[in-house]
Amino acid sequence: MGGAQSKQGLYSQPPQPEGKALAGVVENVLRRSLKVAVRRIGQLNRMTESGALSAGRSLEAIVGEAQSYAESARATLEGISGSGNQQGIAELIASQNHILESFIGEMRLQIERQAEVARAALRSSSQIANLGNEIGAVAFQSRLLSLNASIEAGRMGAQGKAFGVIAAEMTKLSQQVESTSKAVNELVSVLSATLPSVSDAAQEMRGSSQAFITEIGSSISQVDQKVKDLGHSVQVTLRDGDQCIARILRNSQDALSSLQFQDPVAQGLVAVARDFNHASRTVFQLVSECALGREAVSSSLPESQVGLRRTRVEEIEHVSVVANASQAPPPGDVLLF
Amino acid sequence: MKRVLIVDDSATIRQQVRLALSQAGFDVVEASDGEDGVAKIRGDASIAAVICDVNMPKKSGLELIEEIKAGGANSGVPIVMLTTEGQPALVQRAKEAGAKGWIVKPFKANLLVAAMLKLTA
Repeated sequence: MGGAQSKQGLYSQPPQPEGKALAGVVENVLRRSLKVAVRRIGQLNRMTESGALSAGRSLEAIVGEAQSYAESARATLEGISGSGNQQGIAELIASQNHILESFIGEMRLQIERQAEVARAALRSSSQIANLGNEIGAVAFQSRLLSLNASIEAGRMGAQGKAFGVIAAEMTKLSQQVESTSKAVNELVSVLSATLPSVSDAAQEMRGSSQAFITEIGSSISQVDQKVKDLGHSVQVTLRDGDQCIARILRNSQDALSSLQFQDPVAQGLVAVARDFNHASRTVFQLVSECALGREAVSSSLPESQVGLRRTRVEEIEHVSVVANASQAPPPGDVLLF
Repeated sequence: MKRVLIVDDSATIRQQVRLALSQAGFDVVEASDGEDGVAKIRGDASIAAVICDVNMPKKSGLELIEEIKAGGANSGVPIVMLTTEGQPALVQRAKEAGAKGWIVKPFKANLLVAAMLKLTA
């Protein structure tokens, strides 16, 4: 009550020249301070916004590079392992292995057939030789027979002349048969001498091919195992790559969430400017009231042009209300209606 | 590729929403105030969802919803509010105006992506 009377007494005093000067000085100081503070706040706001945007762009570039690399690596690895309808190197090698196995099987069959043919030819040549010997014996008997017939024809004289001609022809024929039989026997001898070596060669080839087949089979098995290992490694690498990209994306999302500090900082800075403006106006009003009396308040500081968005100030007021009421949903949570 | 519109006067928030959603396969377009947001929603029928701030220059987020939901092109597009606001009265007003969701900043990128996937499915 007493304080009120004292204040009323102060207001009733006439304005003093010193008080007016003091009010002017205070106003100038407050105006300058307010201007500097607002400028600095504006700078801070722009700086944090620029920094946040720059960090966001860097984050975007990092994620983009990682995704690009992952796609390139996936294309390369799928070229090895294959994907969809496209055959990979591993599948091509497996396919070639299959073709080679088929070829080796066919080659083994052909070698077996060749050896069998050689054995059959040897048996046939032996039979031909026997037949040749039999023919030679028949020719010999024929020649003896024709000789006897010539002797008998000579003994018969003129009556045996025609018979002698036949005997002479038979002699020639038997000689030709003998000669042919001899030639056949010689050929059979050559064949008999050659065929065992053909058969031996076939046997040797079969042995060599068996070793080759065993060696190739072992090599194919090794290649097949390597291809399987490679396919497994490719799958593991692809899976690791996907997990790595997932981690990068998750971390980038966390970083994005952290980067959102700039928005409340900007709003906080605007609130500071507004509070400072309000405090300046209050101080000037009190000084004016004290120095010049109540009427002089009309010349108080104008609303400062803080150069920042008014909507931000409004947001701060809303946030403040919510914070006091403790009714704000948890930040970041999504409420779908 | 689903298209999402982010309406916010904060360049950093627009950028962060764009990064979060584009990494998840969304095509993101931006508007820096309520009027720009309304124009983009009306002019682009391919917009599948809208994320909208509440306090913005020229036209607030709630005014944007009320205008869009009143009828006209793309009036059925789902709109989710992304704001520092948390007053139940505001949330209720947005819900009554036709908003499909409410997210308080700072948002969690994975939850935002999940919400967009659900709303645009």
